[in-house]
Amino acid sequence: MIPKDLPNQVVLIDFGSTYTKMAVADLKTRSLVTADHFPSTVATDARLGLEQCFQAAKKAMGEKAFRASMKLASSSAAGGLRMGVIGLSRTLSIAAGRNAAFGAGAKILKTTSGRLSREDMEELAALPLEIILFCGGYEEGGTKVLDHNIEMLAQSRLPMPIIYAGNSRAAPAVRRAFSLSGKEFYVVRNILPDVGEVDKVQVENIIRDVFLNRIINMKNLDKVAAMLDRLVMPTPASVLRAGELLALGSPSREGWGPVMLIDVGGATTDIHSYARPAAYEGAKMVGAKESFAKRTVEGDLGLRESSNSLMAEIGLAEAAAETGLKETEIQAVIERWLDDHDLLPVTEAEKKVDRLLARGAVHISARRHAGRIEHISSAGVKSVQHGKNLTEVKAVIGTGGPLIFSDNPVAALGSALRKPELEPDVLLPAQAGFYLDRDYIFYAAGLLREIDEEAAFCLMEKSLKGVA
Amino acid sequence: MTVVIGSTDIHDYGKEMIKAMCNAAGAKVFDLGTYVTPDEIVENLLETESRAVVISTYNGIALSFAREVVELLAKNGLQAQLILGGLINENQDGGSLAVDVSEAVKALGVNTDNRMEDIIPAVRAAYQA
Repeated sequence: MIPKDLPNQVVLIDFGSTYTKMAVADLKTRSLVTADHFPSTVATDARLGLEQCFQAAKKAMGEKAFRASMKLASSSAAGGLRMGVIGLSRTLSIAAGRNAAFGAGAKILKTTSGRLSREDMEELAALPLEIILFCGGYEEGGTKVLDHNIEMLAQSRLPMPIIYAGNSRAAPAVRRAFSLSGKEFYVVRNILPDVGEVDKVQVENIIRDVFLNRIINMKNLDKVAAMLDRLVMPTPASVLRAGELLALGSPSREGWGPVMLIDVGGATTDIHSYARPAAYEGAKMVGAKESFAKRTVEGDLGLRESSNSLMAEIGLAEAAAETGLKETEIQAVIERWLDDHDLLPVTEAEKKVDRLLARGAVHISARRHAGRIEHISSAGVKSVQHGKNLTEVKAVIGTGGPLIFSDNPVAALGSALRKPELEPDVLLPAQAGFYLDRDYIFYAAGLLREIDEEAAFCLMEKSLKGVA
Repeated sequence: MTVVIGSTDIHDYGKEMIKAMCNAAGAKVFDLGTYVTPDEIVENLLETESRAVVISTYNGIALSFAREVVELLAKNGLQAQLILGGLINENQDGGSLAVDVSEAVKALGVNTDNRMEDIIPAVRAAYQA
């Protein structure tokens, strides 16, 4: 049921660093009216790309309907939202902080654990970070390491906003030290209030708010604000919310159940999973509690800007054996792509390398995202589960240009599956159906979910095409 | 004063008694539950800065468990006192029956007094050390 004050059609925009994308959704028919994309103009004047999108929308829906439509937008422009996470222990506050940052749409360039050292501070200062998430400690726990880290941050020249989401006992010291040193900072609820608990709603919201209010302005998107009803959220957060809706279902439609969404790009590979946290075959679950909707971003795994680091992970010798190409041929292809990120594969060698990189990006990033079983002997329990159990995932969905336009998407998506006999402790599904988001609609569905879940769900289902 | 507690197996009666006593003594208790692992203890100590860890054990792994916890504490530069209570035994030298290993565990610097009435003083002592 559409609320009375909503228009019939909604124009959904995404300001990406490569393209400004547009989709028009009809809320009555719950279908896509049109979708298009134009080269991004965010680096110069974001209004130009938006105007092109609006012209295309007007052509499809008519001037009157366009004027009456609601216009919502997301943004991932200029490399997205780059964050650093400062925490205490690897499996608890750091894991919770990283999950929250990813969930809010960020990519993480640096993580530190325990007491901040001078080297940590130098590395943080050298990176183009836009927000630092500072967390650690349960409520009523000790604050000695937090106090040290507060001083290190206060004395630093780090210019970016700092979000404090740790033990509230240290919050007065955060306020005092950061105020005196002139930091922009936000204090929110502890992300890790007690053993076995994670509270990341407030920290995710503040990350999105800081992103939209401060960083979008810096990225030359301020000029478009007046042309839109609302800049809603970072694109990855929008995609995460769309996938969650698909898995859970809308009020009148049954969800798909546990699913994975894979977005392979030129610079990064994003993995989203939607599954209730569950123990695999009675294993003891350890570490920060996982959330139903989880996103991870691998900044070193991509088909163009990150093709070098991805190839290093795959291994040149393995790549040569798998493709039948010489190592020098593979290196030459990688060098061309590093020089020009927009090149598409043309020669047979380039196509082979492209396919190999897509499979590799999915294979490695899925395993970094998923949980695993560790067998131990010195404790009362024999197997311990680190991370999220995705063995019950029934559908693996590919999105992003390299997968949607791949000549063999099944091979790439299939790399997300585990081979039970070779990797019994990897908590990925052994079998699943494969789908492609052929209209590249998830960002739009996430935005649309804010106002009409039924339409958002239908838009996704209509876009998804099974591949076998 | 904060205390991390847990048990190495399903038996949680001893752990619950310790929890009640620590609460009554005014300590903040972080209860890791049953089937705790050495890694879990250390990660939680990093978050809580607790100086005392009280672990209940019954399943014949006392020495291996204590040894791994002590090694991990040292590796992470943590000063916490491990207090192990319950059935402090383990199979030794290929034997088929678990035998008392209290002395060997104690030699690692672990408190094995194994007396409920001494737990709170031992926790307090860890904070005075």
